[in-house]
Amino acid sequence: MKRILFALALVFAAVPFFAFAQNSASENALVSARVISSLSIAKNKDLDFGKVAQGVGAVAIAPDNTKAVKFTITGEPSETIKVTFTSPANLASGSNTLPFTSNVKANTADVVASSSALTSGSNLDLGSDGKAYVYLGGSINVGATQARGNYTGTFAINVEY
Amino acid sequence: MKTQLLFSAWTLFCLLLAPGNIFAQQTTPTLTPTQLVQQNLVQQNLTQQNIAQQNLSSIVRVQCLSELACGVVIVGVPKEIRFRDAAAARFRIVAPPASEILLSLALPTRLLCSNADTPIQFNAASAAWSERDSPTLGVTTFNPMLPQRIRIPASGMIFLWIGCSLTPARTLRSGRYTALVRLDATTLIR
Repeated sequence: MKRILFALALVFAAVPFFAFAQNSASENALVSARVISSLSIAKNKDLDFGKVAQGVGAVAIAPDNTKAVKFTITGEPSETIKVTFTSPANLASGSNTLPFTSNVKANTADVVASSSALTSGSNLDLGSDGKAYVYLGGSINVGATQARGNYTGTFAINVEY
Repeated sequence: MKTQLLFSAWTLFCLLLAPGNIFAQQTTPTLTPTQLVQQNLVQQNLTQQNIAQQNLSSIVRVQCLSELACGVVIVGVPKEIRFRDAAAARFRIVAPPASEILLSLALPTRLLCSNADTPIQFNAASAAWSERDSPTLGVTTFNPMLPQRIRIPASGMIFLWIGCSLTPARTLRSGRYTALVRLDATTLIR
């Protein structure tokens, strides 16, 4: 019995030098992602100048006017977004056109009085509630020879992180 | 009887603790490149002096050089990190030139954030390796879900990159989601 055990011991002691040798190592990599809310934007109304008589000249709706449009942007709190927009140079009624100039302001809080002028492509911070506001006003110039009609145009606004 | 017990204990010792035997695996901690070089130099000296009878030539080192940083992910918007992207995980495997190593990855199926989770996917083209530290030079893509046998080049090291895909649900809660990818490397030398 003693001899058998001794022989076994010799055999296993030799294993390290003749057997299939292997050595291994491991390492972890952290996978991480910061998940944030999607962005949405909603308007409260359209910009309507109402009835304007020929020859009135310039008619303006300021961003703080009750007729102005308010866009409410909702997303991840305190995140910075990029706002781009295209404003029509003219409103159109068939082949007739009416010059239009937009007046855009924005604010993190829903306070138009403290809002700042916004140009397309600017960054805007969302508030701690995840909201920001864009106010749209504008002006038209109605000359005496302006053709009568219903003039419309589209102001397109886009927001992205 | 006492002698038999002694021999039995010795036999058990040889089986389980003898260096380099078929059951023994040496897991090494993460080392900086400088430490790796220093350690390799020390190992070379040991081999040269023939001090250790261990099979030092089979030693393999794995180091994570970059985490898999998916960055900002918007709910409801799928995002893919390709292995070529800077955000991909990057590993370095150091092993003796011409040795053959077996690589296997333990991949997560979900990223976790408190009580919320979101799925993470890997596909057949999510991973690649190269003997150069560039995911665009001489890379070999492989399926990270399958083990890979790789012959270590003359440089004694390879680099490995892993990307992933995320599909966050629209209703997913905001937050930082994490998981671990584990890379195991084993040298195989007869």
